[in-house]
Amino acid sequence: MSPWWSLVGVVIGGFIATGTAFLLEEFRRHHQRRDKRDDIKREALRRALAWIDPMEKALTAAEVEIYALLHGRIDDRLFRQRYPNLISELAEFDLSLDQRLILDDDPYPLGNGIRQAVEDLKQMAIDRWEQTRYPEGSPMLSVIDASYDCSNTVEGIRDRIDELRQQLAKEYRATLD
Amino acid sequence: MSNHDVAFVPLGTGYHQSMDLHAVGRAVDTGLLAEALIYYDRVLIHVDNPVQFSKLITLLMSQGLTAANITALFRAGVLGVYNFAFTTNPYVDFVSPDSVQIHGLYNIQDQTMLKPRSFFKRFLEFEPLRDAFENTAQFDRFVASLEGRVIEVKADEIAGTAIDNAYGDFLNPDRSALMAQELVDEIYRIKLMGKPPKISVNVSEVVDGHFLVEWNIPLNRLPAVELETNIKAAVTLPLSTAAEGNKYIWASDRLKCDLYVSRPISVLIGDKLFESAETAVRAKIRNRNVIEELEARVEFPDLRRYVNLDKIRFPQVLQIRDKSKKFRDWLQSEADRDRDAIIAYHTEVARASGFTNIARRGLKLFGVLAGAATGAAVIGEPAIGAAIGAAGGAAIQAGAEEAVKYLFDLGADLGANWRPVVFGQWYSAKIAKLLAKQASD
Repeated sequence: MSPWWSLVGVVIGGFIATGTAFLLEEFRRHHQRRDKRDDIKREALRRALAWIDPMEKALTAAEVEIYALLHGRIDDRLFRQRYPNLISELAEFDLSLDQRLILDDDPYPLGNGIRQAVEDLKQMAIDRWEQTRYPEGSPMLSVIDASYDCSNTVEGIRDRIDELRQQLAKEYRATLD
Repeated sequence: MSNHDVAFVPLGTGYHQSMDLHAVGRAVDTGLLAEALIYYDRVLIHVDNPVQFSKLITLLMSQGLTAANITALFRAGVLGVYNFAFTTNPYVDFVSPDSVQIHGLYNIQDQTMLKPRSFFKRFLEFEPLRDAFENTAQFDRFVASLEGRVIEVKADEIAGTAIDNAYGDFLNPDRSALMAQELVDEIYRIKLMGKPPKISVNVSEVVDGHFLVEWNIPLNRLPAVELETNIKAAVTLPLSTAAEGNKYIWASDRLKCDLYVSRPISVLIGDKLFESAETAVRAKIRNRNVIEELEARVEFPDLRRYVNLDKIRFPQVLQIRDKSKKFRDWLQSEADRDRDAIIAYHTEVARASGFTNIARRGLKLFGVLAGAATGAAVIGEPAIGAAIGAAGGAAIQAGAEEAVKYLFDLGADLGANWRPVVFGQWYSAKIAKLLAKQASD
């Protein structure tokens, strides 16, 4: 074999070795970047998943207070006082802008929608309670129908919480694949 | 005190009730539930078994309700469950193709039924019910919503009174004929068999305490409505329907609530209430029979029919309910029930719900419909024994005191502690004529 061919072989071998090392390094960096992104994602998802517990607790507490109001065990003033304030409970689990941007599906609109729905439920309960009292002697709504309206809304919110939980869990599982 | 905001509503289909739906393979009468929801704040549903309960939930979902809607209905108490934790079945021997020996009618309960809260075990752990829900969380919430919404009755509580009384009727030839006639009429109507024959019954005592009951047409050759065969134990149906009807009356009396029932059991319930009130009159507890009928043509969609045909979906039913508070107020204002008002309310509610140019349909109800002033006028409080003696002609079997006491207790309650309104078909003329004939015999 001529020395030229040996030289060509060395050069090609060098290229292959360099290329392989480069590719391996790129692959490692890519993995590192993905792992880092997944870590941030998981942290964001953990924080978002932490919304679920206060949401469920607030909804249960809200339902208890609504039934107490509708069945005349408390008045509207006490109801307003006791009604859970979800926004203050969720504040400590708030996501940073970076965390929101890194998630495939931003859970913020859904979470915020649930928070708003719990707040709207308070107003709805007061409205239905008023309808069960007025006009006096012939109220517009029976307590049982008011209870159904409120319970139906509560169950609708619970379905939205389920949807949020499923969305977050799905994305969390995807970070482990 | 009567609760006209609650109705007891049996939803399972079969030969006792909603036979028209049983014929087309529907297990539950959601149309009846829809109608009851229009007229009552709260509805206590009754189904016979876990299969019917799971089919009820599945059917409500296919008719447009979400799992969340159904859970909310139970949680708010709009729906509740009344569960007889036993079945009432005749014990029979098929002696020949045309002859059946009935040894008795029994309340039967298994080990699970004997335990407290057996509904939760038997009905809610039934796999097809779980499958109706999208996920476990949804199902768990549904189960939680039933907490405190189930009334369970064991066989001991009702004892044998309802059965004894039904047996008494079964062995009374005229009464037995009346009961069988309802069954035959319904089968002929559903199978389009033309004019049903008039049924007559002959009862004779063959040995001490054993009776031979013969019908002028062989009941066991009646065609089944759901299959191409005959109803092999058809002779037991009048008896078991009467017992079932008595159970429903017993439950409603206990809860002091109304009833919402379909044919043919509605007729037997009407007859029994009328007979109980008549017993009270004869026992001088009351000076007039308080059971009356109200029949009117109203401009209102036939909800039961349209819901069962899947032409009106359940969310629309709940929308109509939102506009129907007037019906419920009318029922609850015992002293001031104006017949014209309820007819006008139907037109008003139908229009408010978007129904125009609809055919008139029959509104049929009966019970203690008049105001309190014309209700129970207690003119004496005879000893129970005397009352049983006075009403004794209604029952012919030996040792029928329990059966008659049942009538007496019911009669004493009717119009006084309990002023039931029953939605369903019933015609007072037949039973009134029969009781008058018995009284003159």
